[in-house]
Amino acid sequence: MFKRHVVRTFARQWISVILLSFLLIISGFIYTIMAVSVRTLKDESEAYFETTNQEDFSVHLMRYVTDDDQAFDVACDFEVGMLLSTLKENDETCHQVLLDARLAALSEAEFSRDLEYRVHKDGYLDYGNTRHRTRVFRDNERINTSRIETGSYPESGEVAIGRLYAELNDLTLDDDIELDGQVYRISGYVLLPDYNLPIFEHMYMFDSAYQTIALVSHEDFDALSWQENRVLSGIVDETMDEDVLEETVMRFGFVERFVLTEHNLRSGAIYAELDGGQATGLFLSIMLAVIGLVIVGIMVSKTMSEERRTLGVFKALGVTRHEMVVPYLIGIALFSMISLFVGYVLGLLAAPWMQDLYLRFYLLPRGTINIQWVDLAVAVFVPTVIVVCLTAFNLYRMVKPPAVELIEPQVMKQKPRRIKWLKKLLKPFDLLQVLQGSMLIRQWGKVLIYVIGIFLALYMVFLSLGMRNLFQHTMQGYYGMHTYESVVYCEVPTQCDAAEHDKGIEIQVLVQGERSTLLALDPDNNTHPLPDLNNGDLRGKLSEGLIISRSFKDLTGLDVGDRVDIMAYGYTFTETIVGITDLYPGAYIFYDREAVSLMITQEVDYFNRLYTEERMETSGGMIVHRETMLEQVESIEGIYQTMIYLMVGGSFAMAVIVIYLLMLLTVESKYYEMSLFKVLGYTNKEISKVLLGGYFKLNVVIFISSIPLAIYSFGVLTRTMLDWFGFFFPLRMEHWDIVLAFVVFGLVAYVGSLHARHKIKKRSLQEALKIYQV
Amino acid sequence: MISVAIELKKVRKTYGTEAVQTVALDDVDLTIDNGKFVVVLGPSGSGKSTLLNVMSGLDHLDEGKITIDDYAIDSMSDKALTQFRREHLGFIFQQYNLLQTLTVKENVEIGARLVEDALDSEKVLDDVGLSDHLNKYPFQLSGGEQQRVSIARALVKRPKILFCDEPTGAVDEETAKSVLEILQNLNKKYETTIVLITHNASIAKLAHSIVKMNSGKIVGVETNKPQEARKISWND
Repeated sequence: MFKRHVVRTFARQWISVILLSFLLIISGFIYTIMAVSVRTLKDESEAYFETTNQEDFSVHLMRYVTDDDQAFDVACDFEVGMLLSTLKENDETCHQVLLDARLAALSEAEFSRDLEYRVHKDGYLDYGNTRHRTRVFRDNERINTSRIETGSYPESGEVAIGRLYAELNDLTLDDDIELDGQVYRISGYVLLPDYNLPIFEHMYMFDSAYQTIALVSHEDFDALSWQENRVLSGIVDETMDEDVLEETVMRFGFVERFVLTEHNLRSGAIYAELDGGQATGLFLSIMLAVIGLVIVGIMVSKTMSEERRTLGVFKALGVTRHEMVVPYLIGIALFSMISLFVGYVLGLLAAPWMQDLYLRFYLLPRGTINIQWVDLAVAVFVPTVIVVCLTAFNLYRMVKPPAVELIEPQVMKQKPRRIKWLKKLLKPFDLLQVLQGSMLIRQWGKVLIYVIGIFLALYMVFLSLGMRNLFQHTMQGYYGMHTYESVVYCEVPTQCDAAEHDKGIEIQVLVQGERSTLLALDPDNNTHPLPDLNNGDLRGKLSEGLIISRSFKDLTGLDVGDRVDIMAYGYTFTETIVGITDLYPGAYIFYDREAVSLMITQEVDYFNRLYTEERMETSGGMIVHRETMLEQVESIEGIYQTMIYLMVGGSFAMAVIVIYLLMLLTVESKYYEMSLFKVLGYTNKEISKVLLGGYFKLNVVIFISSIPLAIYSFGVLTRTMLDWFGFFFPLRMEHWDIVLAFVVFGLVAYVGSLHARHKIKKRSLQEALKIYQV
Repeated sequence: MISVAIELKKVRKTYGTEAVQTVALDDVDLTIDNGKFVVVLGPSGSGKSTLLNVMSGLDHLDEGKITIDDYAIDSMSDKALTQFRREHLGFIFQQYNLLQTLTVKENVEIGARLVEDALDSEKVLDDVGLSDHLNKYPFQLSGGEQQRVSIARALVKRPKILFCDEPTGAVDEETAKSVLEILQNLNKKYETTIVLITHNASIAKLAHSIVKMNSGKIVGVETNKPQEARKISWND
């Protein structure tokens, strides 16, 4: 008898049941896909980092001889400022002696367990008519050793490249490619633990379709004519304090930069990415499960509440509480378990795809999907047990009163405190508004779920829209407006071929304690405009003071007129901000080149960057072409846009389901009020206003309050990314994003409430004449 | 000359499927004059509730015509019927149907705001003897008091006709008497036509006319003498 009741209850509300099932499936799916794929990647990566001895930190060294180098007690003759590559050409032994001396000095400082040089050469990989950037390595002995995924270690005349690069460019093992004019056969696909993102020059550029790491034999590496670069890699004891470590390393004059692996985008971003992915997956699935399961609980409670009189009669006839409640609980348990289990299975099936999505960006070993029972428990059993327990508590409480009390109409026995509070708050308002408010507040549980669901969906929408223009704000905006074709990163400051090109100085500085990049330019340069917020140009103001990028302003709150302390090369000077340039390159500030040159060298000719109006191929340093950068930006942007559209679509679908279900539940629980109002002569429009108007106002409040919260969280996210990785991730909410979100959200709310309105219209007038329960 | 408030001609209403049909109203003809207090009396299943539903426009009829104040409500659209109920009709239910989160006065104002020339809510509540309970909530009132709030809510918008569905069905005898007395007084004071449905024959005495029903048909219409319609003796 009760089993039939349960089946009928679910069958009668089949649309709601399907939508709820969808929410639960998505919940189980998100949890499982993220938990399984991330754990698989994490386990595989941790084992890989362990066996390949991934560095704990890296130290970038000066490429020229410094004062500290001269202080070494070595039998070599070198001058301060001499290029290390020149020293190597002149006296290879002396070059090695100097490198060993630097290593020994750092080793004696006893901050690390092990240190080893990491050497690479930057150049181009050619095949057919295609040319892409490559960073070529030789294998290390102890730290950051390589792993060959497929194939074999390269011998003479062979090269191992990134698997992803090969796949995206239709290259296979045994194909020939060229490095520095020499033909190499691809012997295998290589992974390097310090390059799980192939970031070479620019941190926004990590698309494996356009660049790859490459491993060659020691002899072939030495034979490459490209400039050799070396970074020191280190392993520390776990007890070492990070700040002490950095302070110790930075005391040496030949150290340019110190980066911990967890703050290094090319090697450490994966940790944050996996932890973030796991946390996001867990958070989203829990939220969806909570929303879905609470709605299931509300639906069943509502159904039993409607059958209160019948239950009273059954109780009077001798039916026990268990006999009444258990069939409902079994129904809920089966419904939840089946839905969540379907989500779990779909999640398992999609986990390899998710792993591949990560591996579309990260150069990590692909693992065999790692299935554990705990996922089944967390994704299926735990939520089911929770909802069954909560519903059991509610239902047993509901059928606890004596049979006679159940048969009688249920009336409010005392005025809830929240209604008293609301009445005071809404005293100046119209009676219908008071009624709207009191109806909402009487069903605060539903309202809370509604607020959480809508807020979550809205936040995801804002986040998606905020990310939409990420590349326009950063790379496209920055490189799109420049008129130069190539940037030359001079191997030795002031020694590039500077004839008729614009000069620049790029150095790391601290502004009011915030780490940032100072780009010093000449006020009359032709290639690097500094647009202000009104489409004017600020280049002329470079000699008057400091110009900061809009992104730096957003990050620090600094503005025109502020005086700031700038620390660089041990010097500190104070300057006034004279302009904000409408650029988002990150934590950038701009200043007069000659002033910086005087500060560093006491002369006006110093520079370490060249901006050229013609495309440069050779000029005494590494060259980056603007066109190549923009091409890569478009490629990554395409992938990002697809993900953003999916996020927006998913968020709106979730919002529609939540709005639809809760509005429907509200309308269904207000049958008697609806009929009463109808009989009294209220129109359908007026009844909708009373019953759904509260939700409309709630929508407006949620929408308005979500804007500052989203903006605040964007700021936190941007700062965190900058603090952790020095990576500027400008999540920005434009006015049009708000308008767009409002229009679409309005549409979603309207569509969600349509069925509820339809129900109001169809409601029988005679319900009010039956026994009325509150 | 007394004008006609409600006129039913050959009204027929059936329920069920084509295969199994129950005739709830079978060729019912009835005329109710303006300002009269009419009681529809009959046992359960006699069709009195269906009669009230179709008479007040809450339910559609299958055949026949219903005219209220020269308005043919059987041919009205749902929208027009809603407007008609709003302006001309009032309802009192067995279970009061008050909004529990609103005070006594606010419940009455829910009715008052439907029309422009509504009576003063406090005055109507005074008429039903609840002037001391304006700010109380329904759960703080007895059953009889709640029914009086329901009466006030119906009357405040000056309905021409008041339909009452077993208004004393949920209260004790003494309370029932006081509720009916109030209805009787209001019928006189505001000249509101009252149609009251009951299975209790004792109530019939306070009406001007008694319509007796059985098996979907009107089996008799009686008219009380004025002096007989003054007091109720509770025998049932």
